[in-house]
Amino acid sequence: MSRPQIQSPSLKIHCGNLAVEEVGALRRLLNLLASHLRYPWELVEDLTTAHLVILNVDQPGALGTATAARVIGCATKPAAHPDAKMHRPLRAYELLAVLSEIKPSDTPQPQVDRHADDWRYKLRSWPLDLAAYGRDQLTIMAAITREYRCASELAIRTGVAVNVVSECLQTLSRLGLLEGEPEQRRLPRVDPQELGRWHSLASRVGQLLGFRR
Amino acid sequence: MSATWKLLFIGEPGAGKTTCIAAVSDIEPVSTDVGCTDELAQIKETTTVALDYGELDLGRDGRLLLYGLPGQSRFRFMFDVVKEGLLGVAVLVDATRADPLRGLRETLATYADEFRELPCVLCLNKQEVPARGLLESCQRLLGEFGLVAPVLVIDARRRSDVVRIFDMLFLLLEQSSVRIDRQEMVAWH
Repeated sequence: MSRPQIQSPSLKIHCGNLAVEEVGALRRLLNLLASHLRYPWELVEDLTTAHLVILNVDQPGALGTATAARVIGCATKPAAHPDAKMHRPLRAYELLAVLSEIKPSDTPQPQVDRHADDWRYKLRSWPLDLAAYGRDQLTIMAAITREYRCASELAIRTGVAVNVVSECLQTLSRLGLLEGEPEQRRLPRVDPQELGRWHSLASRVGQLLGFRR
Repeated sequence: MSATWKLLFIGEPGAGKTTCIAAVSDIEPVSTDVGCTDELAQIKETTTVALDYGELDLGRDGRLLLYGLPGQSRFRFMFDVVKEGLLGVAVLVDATRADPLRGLRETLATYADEFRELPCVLCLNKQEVPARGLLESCQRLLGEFGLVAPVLVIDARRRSDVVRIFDMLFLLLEQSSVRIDRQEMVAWH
């Protein structure tokens, strides 16, 4: 009787802000290393499903303030960069070392940050790969494009569940796209009149042109 | 009385302003195109010398006026003409130009103060898959001028892509605390 085959979970890697040619090089290296890796791998566009994010930290502000263990920085001179673990361009032996330390099950599931309301956040810049983000995430980003807002305020304003808001903030933070400031207020300020001000106009234009509101 | 709101498409000649407005306007867009006589003739036959104009009838919600303005600093005075009731700005860039950032830099240097107060998107036109480096350079340039805005890759000839610009601008408008004075005008019809 043959043993049932157990499908290993694949290690999902998101290439963050790496250039297209660097992503291609990473793909080729991973193919070369495939027989030495403990887990199958796949490059993913969706950050929220990634187990590992590789970032080019030579790019100013790439890492941001709130980093997570699963973010690996690479730089042309990693010895001179405190956030870099690997060389850029990527080298096979460093990649192998990093990937050997990570397993898919190690990755903590995103959780609601209990302290999220201690901080208010604003976008430093929008991500470039907008197609990788869903409607909820884009709505959250729109809400923190010009103003600092805390998680619960964002949840009320956008109608997106607070845990989704927190996941999105964590993702943006890992990519270095957020700036934060301590929350001074006890309760989020959301003016219902302000919320509805543009909704009917946006709905009307959406109805005419064919976008969802 | 009918409320009128405005959206602005701005960018260097050939960036796609006229095409964007024509894609969604209810009326035949009013254009001030003339034949090119300078080096621009190598890129396109005509160019807009003043502004483009189109509009969307919003029924009881009034009208949405669509303006296309050149991004060069010498046309700065035209912005003052359209700024009242302006809901948002789409900055257009022809991604196929030899130096697409030159015109963008001039536009941002001229209007960054105004753009910071409004929903704003940057649209890279005419190239389906622009180099990542160009996207990054645009993002950096926005940052240099203190602007935070999404960068959309569009083909202005596709109506669906132009609709994406509207979608994003209205998403930004709904989610921001921007205060825009409502402009009341006697309806033309």
